[in-house]
Amino acid sequence: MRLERRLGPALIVAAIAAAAFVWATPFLWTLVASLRPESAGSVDMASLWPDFAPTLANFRLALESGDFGLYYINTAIVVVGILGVQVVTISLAGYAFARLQFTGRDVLFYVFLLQLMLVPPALIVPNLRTIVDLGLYDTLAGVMAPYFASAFGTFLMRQTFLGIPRDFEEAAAIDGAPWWAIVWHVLLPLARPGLVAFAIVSVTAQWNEFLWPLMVINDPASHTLTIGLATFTKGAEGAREWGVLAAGTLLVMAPLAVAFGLDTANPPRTWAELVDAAKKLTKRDGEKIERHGFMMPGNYDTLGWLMSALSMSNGGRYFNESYGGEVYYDTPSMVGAARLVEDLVHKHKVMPAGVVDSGAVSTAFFAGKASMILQSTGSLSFIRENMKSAYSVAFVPRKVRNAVPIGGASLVMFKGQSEASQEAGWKFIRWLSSTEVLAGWSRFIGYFAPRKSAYDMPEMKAFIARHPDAKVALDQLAYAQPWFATYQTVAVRKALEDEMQAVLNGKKKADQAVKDAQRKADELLRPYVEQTALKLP
Amino acid sequence: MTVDAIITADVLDVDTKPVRADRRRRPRPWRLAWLLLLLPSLLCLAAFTYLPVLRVVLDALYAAPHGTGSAARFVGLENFARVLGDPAFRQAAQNNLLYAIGTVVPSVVLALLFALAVWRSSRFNTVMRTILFLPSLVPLVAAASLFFFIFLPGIGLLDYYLGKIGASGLNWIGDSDVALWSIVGLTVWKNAGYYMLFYIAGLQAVPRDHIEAATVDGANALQRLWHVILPALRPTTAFVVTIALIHMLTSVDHVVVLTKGGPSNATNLLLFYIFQEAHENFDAGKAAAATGISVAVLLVVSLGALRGMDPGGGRAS
Repeated sequence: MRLERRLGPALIVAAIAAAAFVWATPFLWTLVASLRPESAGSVDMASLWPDFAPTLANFRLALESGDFGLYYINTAIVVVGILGVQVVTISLAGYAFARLQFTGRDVLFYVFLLQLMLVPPALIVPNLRTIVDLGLYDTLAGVMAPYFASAFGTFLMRQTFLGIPRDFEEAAAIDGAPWWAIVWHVLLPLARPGLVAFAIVSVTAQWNEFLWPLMVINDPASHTLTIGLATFTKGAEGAREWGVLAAGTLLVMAPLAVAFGLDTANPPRTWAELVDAAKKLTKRDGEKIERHGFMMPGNYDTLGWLMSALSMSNGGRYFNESYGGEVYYDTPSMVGAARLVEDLVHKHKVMPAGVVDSGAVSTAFFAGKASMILQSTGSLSFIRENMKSAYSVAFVPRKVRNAVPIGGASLVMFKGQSEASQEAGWKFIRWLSSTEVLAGWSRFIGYFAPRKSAYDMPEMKAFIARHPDAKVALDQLAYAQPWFATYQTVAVRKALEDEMQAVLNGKKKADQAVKDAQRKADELLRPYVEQTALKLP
Repeated sequence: MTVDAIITADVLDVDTKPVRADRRRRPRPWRLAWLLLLLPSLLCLAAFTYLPVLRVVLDALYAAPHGTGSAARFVGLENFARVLGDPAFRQAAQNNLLYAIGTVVPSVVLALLFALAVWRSSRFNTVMRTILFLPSLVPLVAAASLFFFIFLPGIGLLDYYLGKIGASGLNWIGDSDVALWSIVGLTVWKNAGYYMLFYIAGLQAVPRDHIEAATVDGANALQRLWHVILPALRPTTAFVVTIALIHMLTSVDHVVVLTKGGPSNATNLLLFYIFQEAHENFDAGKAAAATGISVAVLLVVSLGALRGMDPGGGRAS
């Protein structure tokens, strides 16, 4: 007690102030970073000290990129709408369970409690079907509907009502008040603490909700704050969004290369030259690495593309272009590619261990923390707009041959539509794949245009003349290989990615990793293989 | 005694006493009033809980291999066997367990400590409370984007300041040994202040005379905390643990934004696994079976936690 009186309060104040500082640090950084002029990446971007002339440019950009006023209104509608309905449903149900006698009440109460864990996020898949059936898809009502009843709220209100002595109601009853008047005038005012506790839980939960509105809402005019924010931050991180359109392109940081006596006009063309350059371009301070010679994204999606690019450059095929049931992971060409990555990380120590996300790779390049990066061609424009020093662009280094898998997306139309709708669909697809639109997109993101005629346009010729790096991407097309598609494409690709991430983390040797990846992929492909190649007449 | 038996006892116990009260004076609502009162909730629960669960169970018993063109056929428990035999599922379950323990314990303990430090009203405490509560106001998906920059290897907030003091940072979300704990750290940061709010409300409701009586009896601060305050906070703790456990199963926005479950499934959680099976691999049977399994396990866990929230149970101790 003496301790508490003398030393205690001072210690507690110091401890809580320290905790609050730690808790506030991410926000402090957000504030500083939001006022910082350059935002794509620099060495001191993490500094909490504002040693620059603050600018509101980032906010202007944010407000231009997203309709935040609208998102706020939509979120408010959802949060208030759900809470309003919930207050009614849980008060009624809570009262029934706390005060009314009826057969099967306890059983019914359990049935209610089931929803406690079976909250809408856990039932996303069937609930989406229900919302579509009810015609509520793409409406805010559809976002709200599954939350109108709440087992948690009902439970809370039942407990609250049970905690209120019956004397109050009985006194009111003696005075002749009907039961609903008793609920309204006596019970609800007394149940306020329960309602307030529930309101806090409900509002915070809805404010946070992301996955469910993301699935229900399509129309940008109905986006909630979380969706708007996610779309916006993805755009701001740039390369992360376009990274899917993978195909590799090697970027070499020119000033560095010159300083280390490398010829910028001739960036590494082969694996041997790549390893050699990466060793020279790695800046060490004892054990610590100040700047990595080489980086490549290790996140899902991008890693698969880059591994296929490397294995193809090693003369491999990656998958059977004519038959969707075969991939070639446990092959000499892929083993070589996997060993190259393994050596760069663990033997030569020129590349960081573990997975580095595509966005983080670009950021490291901007900040001068990576000398060379292997990145998606789809991030070329993002890099051009944000890279402050000079750099050059090259083909994916070859071992046996130059090769790169092209990416992209398919335009699909569902069958069983009316003729008018089909016609409109075709019109849209023709417009989307027209020379002008494809050329515009190519200039916007940096990926090459799928139509050769695009390159005959004057705008495109001027663009290529202005940005020789874009020409490299185009020239590499001569060595393009078909894009990766098998039965269960994503899962089959993930089989290799999981194993390669283990290699990056030093958990597995390259040779073992490709064997395990092959086994997993074969297992995934088995249902297809059994229905096709192995099904004999 | 099983969890169910305990709950039954509690639920029945609470109401048997009042039933014996004088019946004449009690308000007599219309006989079917209960149905009317429960109808709004029941309709919504039927549409978005009971029927979907039935759908999930049915889906789990059928298989329609995606893309092979064959019709759905009854396969019994095969989907459950496939899920349980999938190393990725087992890892997601194990991750989820570690994630739940690693997050719920520190965030609830921190919440209690925070609340004990700032529950009394003062200007300083109001500022501290606000700061600690701030992360709850940021949607998880936004917090995750923020932490993407904090975790950035080499140049992120963490590594930048670790570098200043001479320590070398880690690959926070890219190292398979560290990634899950980075996710845990983010979640503790996000939730502790939120749970603190409930503890503050709980502390303000602890009868002052109990604490004073203990002080008069010569109990020191720790003894008062252990013997008076904590027992009085039991319902609050049960409440907080319940919502915390629900969070552990139902929010994976940070996994979606930061790691997509990687590296090598090191941060995959059950809901994200289900999401992947349903939307990336189009394996409805497997997704349904995984939903069934995870929901069954967590239903038991949360019913156990709920028991403590019963005012009857809370006061008895």
